[in-house]
Amino acid sequence: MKALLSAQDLSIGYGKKVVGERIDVSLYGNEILALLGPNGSGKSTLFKTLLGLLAPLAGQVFLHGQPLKQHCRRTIAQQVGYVPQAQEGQFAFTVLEMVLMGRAAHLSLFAQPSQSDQQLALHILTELGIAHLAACTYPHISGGERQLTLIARALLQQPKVLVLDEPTASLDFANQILVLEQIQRLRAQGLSVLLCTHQPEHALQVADRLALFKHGRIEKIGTVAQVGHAENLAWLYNVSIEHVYAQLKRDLVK
Amino acid sequence: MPQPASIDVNRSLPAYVKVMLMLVAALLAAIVLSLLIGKFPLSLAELWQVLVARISGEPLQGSADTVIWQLRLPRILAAILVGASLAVAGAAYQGMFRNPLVSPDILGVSAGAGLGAICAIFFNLPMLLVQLFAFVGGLFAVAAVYALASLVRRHDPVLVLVLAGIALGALLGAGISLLKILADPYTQLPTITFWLLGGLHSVSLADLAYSAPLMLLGLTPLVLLRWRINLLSLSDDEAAALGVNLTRTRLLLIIAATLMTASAVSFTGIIGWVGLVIPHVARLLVGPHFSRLLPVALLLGATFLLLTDTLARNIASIELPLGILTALVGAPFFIYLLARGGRT
Repeated sequence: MKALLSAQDLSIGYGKKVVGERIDVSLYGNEILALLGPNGSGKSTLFKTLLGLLAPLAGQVFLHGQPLKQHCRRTIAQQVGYVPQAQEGQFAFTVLEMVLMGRAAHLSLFAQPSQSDQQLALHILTELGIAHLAACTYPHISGGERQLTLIARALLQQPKVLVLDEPTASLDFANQILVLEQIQRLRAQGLSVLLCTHQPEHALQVADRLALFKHGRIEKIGTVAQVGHAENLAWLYNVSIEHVYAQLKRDLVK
Repeated sequence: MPQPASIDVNRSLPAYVKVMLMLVAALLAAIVLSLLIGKFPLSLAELWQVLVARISGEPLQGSADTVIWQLRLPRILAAILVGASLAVAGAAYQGMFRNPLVSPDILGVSAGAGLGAICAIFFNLPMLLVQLFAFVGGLFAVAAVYALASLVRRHDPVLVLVLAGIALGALLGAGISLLKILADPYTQLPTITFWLLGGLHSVSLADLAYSAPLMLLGLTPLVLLRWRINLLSLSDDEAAALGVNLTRTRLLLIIAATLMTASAVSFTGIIGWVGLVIPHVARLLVGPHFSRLLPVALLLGATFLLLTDTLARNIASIELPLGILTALVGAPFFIYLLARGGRT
């Protein structure tokens, strides 16, 4: 099977500071790959490198089998949508204005979104259940609604791949469920999703495959059934198996 | 689930049209007011006579005609052009640097243009060269700030850019002070001082004839990029991930906004605060979206500077430098913005 987005022998970091080395990972069509790893393991750096926002120190990233650096920002954005952790934002754009910014990769330099772009944006907002917020200003909606707005913006890029950086962080329980459901729905619609999370139970719940990232390397990668067991989680986070069981069982009781 | 058709997504459109109509009306009223009052007061009837006579091709003989066509109209046009340019450039800088507190002053453009002009005055160069030096100084300042900022790669590029602007502004300020000390206190210093405070008293139609096209040239990319500039107010990573070529877009916008600022500063001197305060008021009126922000900031800046200039030439028996009046309005407003967190 051909990978949509892949890294070969990738070294990541900033300048002289190496964050991760010898990373091999591939994201295939129509799957959810979840990256799990302790704080400071370099997940965000890896994501930035995979998105082409940060140049690799060594090795290469491939998009559709072609080296990422052969693509310009525009063609990358037509293929890969990025959902960062929602920030409040400095200026009070409306939700619809924010979402329409996702159209940039499909517009020429001086163009503005058309009526049909606006229809598409409203359609996506409706599917995500936040169409009623279209005219609200972005800094004044809840964290979960902001996260969904950013997902809507990435979907307006009409990408093949969606990269989500801790999509459920700082969301309340209801919004976590909402966002996770939407991620699964998007996979069902044919998108490939790469996400990282600090909540293993979320990864176990939605992902097809797991990648365990520790000390700057992907140490284990495989299906949830292969990799997602308590021993691995205990090893990954340096905690006892009892703790993992207790935590996950408590989650099941929930 | 709510239906898209039922959503009033253009909720701000009628409000926007209303704001625009009011601003156009305010600008027209300010123009009429400015034509009427001054050392040589005119009545509406006199103004009407003068205008009709000119349009019918038989201009009236006498001082009313001269006052309006030779003195007040060029000055009004200059106030409108300069106010609009500074406000629009300020709005562009604030949007592209994601910082509601930046302005041409803070980025070192004004100080660069100021040093350029004062160098020319110091060497007793003709007025035309003073303006050229101001323009080159402004462009040089931004280029230096931008180069400085791109050398420092580790930190938030926007923060570095603003800090570099402040540092360079201080350096240029030192240069200005040095030239003031060295300047001839009887011939050069008054010119330098008055120029630094800014004013439209010496503006002629000839100044406008070559500044206006430059301002228009700077305005064009801002109008063309009025949608895309919004994406620069996201974080760099977000904007790049959305497909924006940040370096190219930002460079184009910086050159455009600097062209507008420098061509304004080059013939009026440094008029501070307009580029900071007006975009803020505009954002409060119509939101941050640049397609709406640009025309509103343009009209608001034009009206504000026209009224301020009219005040400057009428408030006292001698004419007050414009920069003093804009600072009186601008500085308290800036403090107010800082107090409420610098966000609109």
